[in-house]
Amino acid sequence: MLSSPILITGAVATAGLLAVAIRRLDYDRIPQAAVLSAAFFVASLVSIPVGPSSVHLILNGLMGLILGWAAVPAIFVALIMQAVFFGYGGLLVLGVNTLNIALPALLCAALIGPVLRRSSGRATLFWGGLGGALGVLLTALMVSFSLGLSSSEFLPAARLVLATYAPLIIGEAAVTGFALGFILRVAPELITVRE
Amino acid sequence: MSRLCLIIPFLLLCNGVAEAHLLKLFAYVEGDRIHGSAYFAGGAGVADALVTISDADNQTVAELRTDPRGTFSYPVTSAGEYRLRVNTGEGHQAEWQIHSSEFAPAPVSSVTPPAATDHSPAPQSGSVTPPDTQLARLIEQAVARQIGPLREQLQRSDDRARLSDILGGIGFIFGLAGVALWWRARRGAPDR
Repeated sequence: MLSSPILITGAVATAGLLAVAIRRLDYDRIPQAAVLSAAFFVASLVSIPVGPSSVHLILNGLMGLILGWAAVPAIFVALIMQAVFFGYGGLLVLGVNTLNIALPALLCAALIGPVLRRSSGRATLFWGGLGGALGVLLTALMVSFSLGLSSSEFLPAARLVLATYAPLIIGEAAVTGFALGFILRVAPELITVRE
Repeated sequence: MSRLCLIIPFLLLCNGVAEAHLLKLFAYVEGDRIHGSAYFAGGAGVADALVTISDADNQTVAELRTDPRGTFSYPVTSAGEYRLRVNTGEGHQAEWQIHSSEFAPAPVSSVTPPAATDHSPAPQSGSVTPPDTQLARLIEQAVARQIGPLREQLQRSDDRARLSDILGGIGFIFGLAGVALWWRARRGAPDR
């Protein structure tokens, strides 16, 4: 399905991201990373049929906002588990998959993270929701981009992916917003720790 | 942090109705028709998905779409190896291989006429074999019809995400986190 240049580019880019992430790894975040990694792994098993396909929560916006760079190894490990235990995607596309999910997480962390840390109350819900939506939207764009570059026509693939992901964007925004609102109330140190 | 852990048991509870996000294809032969279905592992059929049937030389024989229940059926002209592929167009695809041995033996009509003319002095043997082979073919078809759905069911329950796999995956993740923390403690990282 995906052509080998795409697969190789994805693998190389993921290896690079992982190297940077591990060098910058904040050991205090490992427990959070493990919990979110497990949540990501399990969330992917709960999927809802949409049209000819089905979607599940990705949680990459949430992971990026809470974990920062640590989101990259967390996502990578969870994707390995999915490929090994359930055959999702398979190991060949692991690089592309990690890139498509982790890069939006990092962008969320960079763009929305600083604003989110200064927010409170309703503003947290808003920025968290925006982060969740942005994470999924960017992932959808990157998935259709990698599909379009490989085989299928870009526009139909992108339209299909976006149509499938549209309900997910709303769900993801709600989950991320409420999760972050909750965390800021009960354990603000999870988010306010700076890298 | 500990509250976050609440998410996991909750999601595990949901798993009872959950379906894995993995596209699957299943097909079997009944007579000279290929019956099959496309579905998400442990879940509902995939409607309106593109199914491509190609032969041993990788030539596309047919392209069809699944019905609302995710099933399809296609009459093939000859027995042989077939490769079926389903593609939902947004990154999910699956394959299924049909071997020539799944088809019933070649139609009797091509074998029996010479046999019947050669053995004109013994008409009984000539007149007895065709119904026999025909009967065998009928039985084979009937069995295929009965067993096909059963095979599909078996395949589907095999594909379902199992609790042990889920727990195993979570265990691995926490184990890795433990290794990372142990590594840090061993190197005596500065306290922050």
